[in-house]
Amino acid sequence: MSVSSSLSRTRVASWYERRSKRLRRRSPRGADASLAIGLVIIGAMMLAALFAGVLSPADPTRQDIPNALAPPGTDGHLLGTDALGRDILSRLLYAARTDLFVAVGAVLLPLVIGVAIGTIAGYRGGIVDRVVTGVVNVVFAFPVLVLLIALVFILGPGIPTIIVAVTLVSWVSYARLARDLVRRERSLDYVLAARVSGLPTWRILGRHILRNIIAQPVTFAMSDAVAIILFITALGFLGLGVPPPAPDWGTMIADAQPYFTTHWWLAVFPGLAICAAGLGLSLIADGLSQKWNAQ
Amino acid sequence: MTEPLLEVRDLAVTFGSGRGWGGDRGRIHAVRGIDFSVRPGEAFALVGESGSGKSTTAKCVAGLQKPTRGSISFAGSPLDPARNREQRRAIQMVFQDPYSSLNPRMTIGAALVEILRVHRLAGSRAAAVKRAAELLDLVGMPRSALDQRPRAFSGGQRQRLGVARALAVNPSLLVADEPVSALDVSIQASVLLLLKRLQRDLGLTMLFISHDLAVVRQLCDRVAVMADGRIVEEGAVGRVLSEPSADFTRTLLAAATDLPPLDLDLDLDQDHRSPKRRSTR
Ligand SMILES: Nc1ncnc2c1ncn2[C@@H]1O[C@H](COP(=O)(O)OP(=O)(O)OP(=O)(O)O)[C@@H](O)[C@H]1O
Ligand SMILES: [Mg+2]
Repeated sequence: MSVSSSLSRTRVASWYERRSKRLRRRSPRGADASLAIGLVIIGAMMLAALFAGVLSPADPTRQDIPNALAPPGTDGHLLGTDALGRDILSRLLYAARTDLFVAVGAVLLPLVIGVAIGTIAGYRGGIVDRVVTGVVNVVFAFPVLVLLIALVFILGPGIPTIIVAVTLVSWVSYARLARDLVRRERSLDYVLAARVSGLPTWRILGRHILRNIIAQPVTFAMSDAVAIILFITALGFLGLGVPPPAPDWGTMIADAQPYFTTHWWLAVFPGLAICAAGLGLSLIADGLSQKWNAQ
Repeated sequence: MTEPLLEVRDLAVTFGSGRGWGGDRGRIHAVRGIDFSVRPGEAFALVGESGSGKSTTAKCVAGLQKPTRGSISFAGSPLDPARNREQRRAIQMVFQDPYSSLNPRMTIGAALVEILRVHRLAGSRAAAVKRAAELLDLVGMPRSALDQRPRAFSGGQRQRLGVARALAVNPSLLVADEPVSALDVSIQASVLLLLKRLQRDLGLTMLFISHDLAVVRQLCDRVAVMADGRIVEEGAVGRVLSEPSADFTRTLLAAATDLPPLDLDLDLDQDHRSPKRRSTR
């Protein structure tokens, strides 16, 4: 399982090309619809996560062995209970907190850091660009899981460890994307004109170039968030993820493994939550890039 | 004779490092050591066919390209590669492609106001907006353009907006790199006319790049002919065009179309029509 480490430069590029080709064919009205539906889904999930304390019928960590594996609809357990008798609905809501928080952090940090580094490298060129490109290539070649295990030893398991590890690895995708976009952009006449106008470099980068290239990294980030939620799921399986008893969707599915065939609700509900989050983020990504393409 | 405003001495630009295996073969000698000077208030033309090094020369003058060799002096003092704000302000440029020379995501007003504010040419935001509106008047564009983005305008209109941007900082030298060659012939004349009038009314000095001698005849006082990175002929426009001494100039002349002389009193606002390319939104 890997997040961005396996996303080679060509994959990022061709991914974006395919996406924008597909999007160009669609109607502009589709953009608003995708964006709206995506925002509603993610917005609802964020609200649910935020108000988990109020919305949860039970304490997500409270075990109740006699009532273990109760099916959905059982008194007081709308979505049933897991193998330890914990309320699945409550665990889902609290897990949304963990997973959305990690996804947002693990996407925003690399996005900001990567785009900043890539933009400077692409604009400056020369030795700065060569050094950044070298570092990016090394990180690309580095196995993310090895890094993560090392970090778990150093920092101890937990949410910060996951965010730091993902950031260390995946800023390079953004850096490379931004660097290539800026290299293309900086020779365009409007950038030359801004230089002739005597605008300071930071202004040219921030107000002129960044505005014209930011669409692709942001769109990519939305899809990356989906990958990161799946990545946390995988970490849960490996026991490297969010430490128990704090719930997250991935660990819930992992814990449900012995009951896949006999007690479907243990795995299906967290699975649906992951699907919904992925769908919502993809719709937002689609809508955004379509809107930006139209401009 | 008056002191030249712009003096270019032994300017040379070589692309490619020349390091590594190819040796000198990997290099492109875009400009091979040229000299020329432009007097205050005159329109000086640099003509030559594609690839002769005109744009590279223009970029050096505008401070966008570091010369490999040679010097550029402005108003008597040499310009070093890292120009200060005042030196940048004095030399402005109009670009060839009106479709890429304006930031697609900024309104015309925002772009002009930004430049005015950075150079502290307007005390307040309101003053900057007022000055931006005056600039639009100057180039014959409606003030409503302030709130619009470049995609709302035709090529000719965009080129006028490019001129307005260049004039925002009150330059003394305007470098125009083939400002009309991307435009329809019917629109070319009105943009040329605008440049000619601005030159007369504002006392601008102009370095005008072109591959079309007919356009040069309409607009310029003196001309230098470039071929393969060198200046092969230089002199008053009338003299060079009537009795060219270089073979190359004769070839260029044969390719030139005949254009009527510019009538400075013509109506300027003839290309305020709907944009040719309208983006779908
Ligand atoms: N950044 C660059 N890197 C490498 N070569 C370049 C670069 N810019 C220009 N050249 C080369 O330098 C030569 C001169 O180019 P330049 O743009 O100055 O010509 P030009 O006279 O303006 O031609 P045109 O009429 O096509 O605009 C060309 O051979 C061109 O390919
Ligand atoms: Mg050129």
